[in-house]
Amino acid sequence: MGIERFKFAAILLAATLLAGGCHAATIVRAPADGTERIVSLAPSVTETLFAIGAGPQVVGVSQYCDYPPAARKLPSVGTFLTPNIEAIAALRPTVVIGPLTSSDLREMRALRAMGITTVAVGGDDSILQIEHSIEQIGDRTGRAAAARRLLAGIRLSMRSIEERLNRRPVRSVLMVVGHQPMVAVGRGTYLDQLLALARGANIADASAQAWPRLSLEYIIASRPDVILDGQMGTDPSTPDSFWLKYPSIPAVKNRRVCGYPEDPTLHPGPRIGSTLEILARLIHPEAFAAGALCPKFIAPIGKASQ
Amino acid sequence: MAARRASQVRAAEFDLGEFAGAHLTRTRIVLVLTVLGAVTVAVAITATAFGSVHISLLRAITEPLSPDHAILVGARIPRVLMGMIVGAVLAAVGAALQALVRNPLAEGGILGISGGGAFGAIVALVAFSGMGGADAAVPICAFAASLGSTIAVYRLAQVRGRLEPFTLLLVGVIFNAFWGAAIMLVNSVVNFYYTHSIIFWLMGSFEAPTYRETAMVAVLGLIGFAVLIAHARDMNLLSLGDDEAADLGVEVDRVRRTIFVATSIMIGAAVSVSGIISFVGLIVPHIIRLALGADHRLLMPASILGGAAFTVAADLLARVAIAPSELPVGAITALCGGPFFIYVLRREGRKSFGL
Repeated sequence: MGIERFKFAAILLAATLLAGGCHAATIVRAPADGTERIVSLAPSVTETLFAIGAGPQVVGVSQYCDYPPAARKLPSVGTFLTPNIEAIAALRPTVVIGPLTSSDLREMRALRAMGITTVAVGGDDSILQIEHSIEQIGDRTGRAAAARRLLAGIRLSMRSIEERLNRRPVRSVLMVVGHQPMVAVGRGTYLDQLLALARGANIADASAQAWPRLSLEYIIASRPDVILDGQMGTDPSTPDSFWLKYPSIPAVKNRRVCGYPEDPTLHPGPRIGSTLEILARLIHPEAFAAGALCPKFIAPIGKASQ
Repeated sequence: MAARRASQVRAAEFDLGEFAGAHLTRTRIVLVLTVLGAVTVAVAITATAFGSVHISLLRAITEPLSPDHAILVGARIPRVLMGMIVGAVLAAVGAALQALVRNPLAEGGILGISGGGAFGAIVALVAFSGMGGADAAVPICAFAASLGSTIAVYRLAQVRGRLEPFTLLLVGVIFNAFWGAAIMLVNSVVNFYYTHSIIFWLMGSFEAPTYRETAMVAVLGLIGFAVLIAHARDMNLLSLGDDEAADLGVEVDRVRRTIFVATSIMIGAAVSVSGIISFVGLIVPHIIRLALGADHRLLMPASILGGAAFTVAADLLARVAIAPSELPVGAITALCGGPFFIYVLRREGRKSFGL
């Protein structure tokens, strides 16, 4: 095992270096008027920047940044774990904003040594932390008022969902990123908190981990009412037969196994209000008017397999 | 000429005696395999009785609608069966390849077959995701890719129409590294959302197999075991060297091809459902060899049973250690197997380390 991993790592490193070397980036001259030039290293940061009106100042994004559509047209500078310092330096940024996980990277140290300001936001991906990151990005870009308005809007949309579900029964929920392996949304993550706000009781809270790899036995024994499986994709015409093997689970028996869209659900950014609405509709569909059931997001396995 | 040949044969027989450790009789084979078989069955029963949640076996059997029944039949039994069959395949393939290429470091991964399988699985996973059908397509693509890799390694390792052990080893190692790089390349271009699935194939798991998958691996595995056990004597002689084996009546080329094809299909089947589980194929045959001697007539069936028991035990630990979460079984096999192997090597190695 060890030897193979080392080999993989070495080759990955070589491939990264090669890819970096092949990248033909044009060097941009620093602006004379002193406006900010921002490079974002994470989808949530990019979304926040665009949401508070700093979009025009964004000059580079990570390869995972696909929202809003305008972000896709910007030059890619690698990922938050493997930022390409040459590509970043070539964009002449005044500030690089990335998640906390990036702040200790050699690449970030190298950027700081070049005189580029780096800002680390986020941390544990809780709702509080997401809100704090939005404030931080607002402060750093001189758009504190816009950030406050954005936060107020997020809180308002979340409260309206909470009110709508006010007297609904709490349903036990399992939310997995995928079922092979069974990586679940666990304690302390924003999704765990959103499930609670959507009146769902997350069965993965029994594990101390934020993204536990749950055992199938535990899932069968916990008998969740609703299962949200990200691996199922978002197309209702393609059901996934995996869960049908376990009909003793109430969610399977009652056809409450649903897929959910990866975007925005898995993005811990300013769209958590929309994510809460998606989760609420999946857990308590009867609380929403008929026809408003987000048919694109829901793939009830029984119905789709007919 | 005849005298020289006779002395060579005598020398070979002498070596064979050394390899065997103790004198190998039918009684000894039956006795050792009975004990090992009993251990394997005991481990399998323990692994069926315990898991991440406590279930009542009585209720599981008497009440078909209870969650206990669903856990036992839907989750635990297929998993234990899969662990047994894959562990047995990995250990048998390790033992066979160590004889085939006359190298103590040989195991399933080293011929680049499992790497090809994992690559096929990952590409299928990414390509079919969001389109549905990924669960069915992934093992098929993994098996197809491992067979494709096998054919490529087989053709490239031929020197003047013969399968050269040394070339085979080198070509295999290169393929292994190549597939590893290809997997990492896929990992770095697709959405980070796939990272868990990619690591799943690299670390290996017996999570939630279907009975159909288990049956497929079991059928291919059992055919493979029969082929390998039938060639146990040839493997003994191959360990002495190609010329010596040929002198003693082994059709070296044909035997080598047969073993290579059999082990490739076995590894391809195992990796297509459980990903890359390393270390089992390396340490189980070595521990058996240190304890029981290097005669493949005993080593091969003993490795099959030992591999099954060791892997199921490691998987049990992976399931219960931090329940309700799981650990990757590949990490457990390496973490527990490594130190134990060194211990056996230090204790027994001085007197009987054959290879």
